[in-house]
Formats: sequence, C-alpha cells, structure tokens
Amino acid sequence: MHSQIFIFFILFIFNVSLNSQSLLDELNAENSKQPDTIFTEATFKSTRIINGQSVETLGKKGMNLIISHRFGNINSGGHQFYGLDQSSIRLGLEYGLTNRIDIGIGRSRELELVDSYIKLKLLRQSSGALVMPVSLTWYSSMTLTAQKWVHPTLYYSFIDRFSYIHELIVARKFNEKLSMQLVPGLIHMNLTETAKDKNILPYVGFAGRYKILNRISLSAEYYWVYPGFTKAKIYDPFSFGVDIETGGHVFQLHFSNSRGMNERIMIPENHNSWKKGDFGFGFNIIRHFNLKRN
Amino acid sequence: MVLDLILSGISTLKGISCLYKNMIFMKYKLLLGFLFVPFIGSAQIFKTTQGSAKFVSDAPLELIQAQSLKLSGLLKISDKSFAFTVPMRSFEGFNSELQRTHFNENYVESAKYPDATFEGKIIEDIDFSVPGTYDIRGKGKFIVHGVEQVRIIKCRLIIQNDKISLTSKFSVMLADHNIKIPSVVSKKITEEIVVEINTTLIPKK
Repeated sequence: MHSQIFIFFILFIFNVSLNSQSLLDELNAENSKQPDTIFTEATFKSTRIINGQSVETLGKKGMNLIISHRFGNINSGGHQFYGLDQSSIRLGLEYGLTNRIDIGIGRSRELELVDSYIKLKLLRQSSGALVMPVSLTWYSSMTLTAQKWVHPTLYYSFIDRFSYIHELIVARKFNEKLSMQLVPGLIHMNLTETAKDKNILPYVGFAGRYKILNRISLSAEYYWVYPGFTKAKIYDPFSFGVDIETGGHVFQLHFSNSRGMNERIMIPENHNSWKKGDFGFGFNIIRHFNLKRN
Repeated sequence: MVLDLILSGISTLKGISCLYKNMIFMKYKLLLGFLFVPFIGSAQIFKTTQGSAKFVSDAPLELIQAQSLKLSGLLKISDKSFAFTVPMRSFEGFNSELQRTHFNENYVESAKYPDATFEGKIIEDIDFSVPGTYDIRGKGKFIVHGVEQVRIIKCRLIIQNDKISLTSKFSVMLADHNIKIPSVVSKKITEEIVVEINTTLIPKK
C-alpha cells in the first residue's frame, strides 16, 4: 500500500503544478505559437470617401448602387435658396467580380460624363503571422464626355471625348477608429479646355476617417493638384462630412468645394474656392446589394 | 512477467483511472510509479485545433449562417476540466462580405473581443477509459463579446480508444452578451442564435 500512497502523492504534486495555470491560459499559449494572419477589415465604410475613391473593394458578388447629389454653392444667395435650388447628380453602379476586383460605371450630369472603372486590391493590411502595414488598391478609370461640343463648327474626333485616370491608393487603418489614405494619381485628357493646358495632370489625394460611433464616422479628403498645368485657375478640392451606416446603406453627407463626383470633373474642372465661400452641401446614398446565392 | 509489465504500462498511458483499476500494476515497486506517472500526466490532456463551430440566425426576413474551422480546445481527464476558444474573425459564410465585416465591426467587435471562450468542468462522473457514448453537461464561464455568463451546456461525447468526439448544440441570447441589434434590422437577425459544435479531441503530446 505504500506504493499507492506514494503514487497519489506524486500525482498530487503534478496536478498542483499544472493547476497553477488555468487550462484556458494554457490553450491560449498553445494557440499563440501558431498565430493566424488577421486581415484588416473596414478601413473605410464604403468604396468612396466623399468624391474620391477609397481603398475598399466590394467583395465577390457585392453590388453598390450609388446615388450622389451635389447642391449649388451656399454663397449663391437666397434667390437660389443657398444652393439647394441647383443640383447635380451622378448615378453609379459597381460590382465585385472577385474579392479583390471591382468594376463600375456611372453617369454624371456635369459634362454628361460617363465613367467606367476597375479597382484592383493588390495588398491587404494584415497582422499576425503575415504582417503587412498598408492596403494597396489600383484604380483606373476611363471617361467619356458626352455633352455637345461648345463649338460645333470646329472639327473634333470622337476620341477627343475620352479621359483616363490612374490612382494608386495606399491606406492604413491605424486603429479601430482612425484610418488614413494617400492617393497619388494622374489624369490624362485627350482634349483639354485650352491649347495651353497640359494633357496630363498629376495630383495627390489625402483622406481620412475617424469613427465616432460604431456606425457613424467623420471623413475628410483633400486633393493637391499639381499647379500651373491649366490656364484657368483651378482649386484643390477639399471635402468633409459624416458617414452613417445602416446595414445595407451608407449615407454620406458632406460639404465640398467640388461638384465633381468623378476625378475628371473634380480635378481639372474645379473652379470653386473655399476662401471665397464657394462650397455646397451634398450627399451620397450607397445601397449595397448582394448577388450571392444562399 | 516482462510482458505483464509492458502491458500494464501501456494501459496506464490510456488514462489515470486505469492506474487504480489495474491491480497487476500494484504488484510492482515504487520505481514503476516514478517511470510512468509523468507519462500519464501528459497523456491525460486531450486537445483539438481544427474543430468546427457553426452558428445560425433564422430570422423572419433573413437566414444567416457562418462557420469557423478554428475551434481549439483542451480537455483534462484528471479533473474533467476543459477550455475551448474560437476566434470570431475566423467565421466564414454569411450572406455577403459586407455582412461578415459588419459582424466583426459592429456586432461582436472582434478587434476588442477577438475570441469566444468556454472554460469549466464536466458535471457528470464518467470513466474516460471506457469507450462509448456519453451525454454530459459542461458547466463554466462562457464568454462572448467580452461578457461572461455561467452556462451549463449539454454535449455528447463519443469516447474511442485514442480519440474523443464532441458534439453540442446550444443557443446564445444576444442580449445576454450585450450585442445590440438596431431596430432597422430587427427582423433580419434573431435574438437567439443557435450554435453547433463538432470536433474530435486527440491525446496531447
């Protein structure tokens, strides 16, 4: 019987040493030996910041219907009801071919502009086993200016109606609340406003969002446009607003000095200056649909 | 004689209860105790790393399902204690990518509360050395969304020679875990989420 007692004793000591650590701690310690890669999600609430693109893509078989309105400038006075009498609209539709590739089309009232684009998510920010500090998305757009020529007597070819936009969107979600993005881009116009304008116009966008509640965040964007490339004075677009998310919708309400809802109008055609008080109210309603079959 | 010794050694490896039952073992000297006790100690923990955890929200307007294959857990035979954990971000499925994002961002807040865990002890006395099917109850701390609930959860264990299969189906009330549903989507998400667990535990080396 001595041996039995001794074995119990040994077991007792062994158990005590094991119990000093809880089983859950032990499990967590075990799991942390092989960490998973955690991909950062929801850097921004939507595929748009305000006027410009965000780093986000839709995900496979996701579809967005985007209805955007820009009212006139607030300083246009009481006879224009402080800008609310005027409105400019863009209707857009975008679709996720894969989790990393989006395609989209849209049509704006300004210039009767038809735009089409493709977005490729090249890198995803991640932590854990695989660390990637930023997300990276390539954005390319081709636009068609459909409005009648201002001087119909002059000879223009159909190709003059096209412009091309390329952007590399670099974004980082610093924490659950703060996300920032940097957007070097350029726009090439086949036909410029005057002969002295350059066809290629480079720009750099800065954007950020700060989440104030789970479903509400503040956002702002500023595009620095390389000066001196156009004869007419153009101003850098700056916009700020609020994003409200309700399940399938994102409502974006904002103030902006730009009435362009595509880079083609926003960058080379922005004649509004914040300093002169040329800014107006606008909103985007982004309705998400899901075409995945359950 | 030598064969007896080896046999008894093997049987002790299978579980601590063998130790007490196996009277042949008792004939041998203290030395044997020294030799085998550490082995018994390490073999009496079972583990799983790729278990399945599924949940279903069957609301009037929408059916939402998701599954994780990253359920991990430990089960200690000696004191019937267990711990299970599943990373919330590992759930896949849903009806869209956006829905998965919203699940992590707005509902379970995965960045703040990355895991759901259940840690406790088995209420029933069962003999893990005897193969068979056992319906048992686990009692312990169930944590989702950082909110701890003391729960008794029914499980079925199927004990085989070198593995234990575990299945369980239980429900989780969102209100118990402070997960709020906005009234706009109240017909798309149920208050009561049905969870199904399915995994196989093997001896931990």
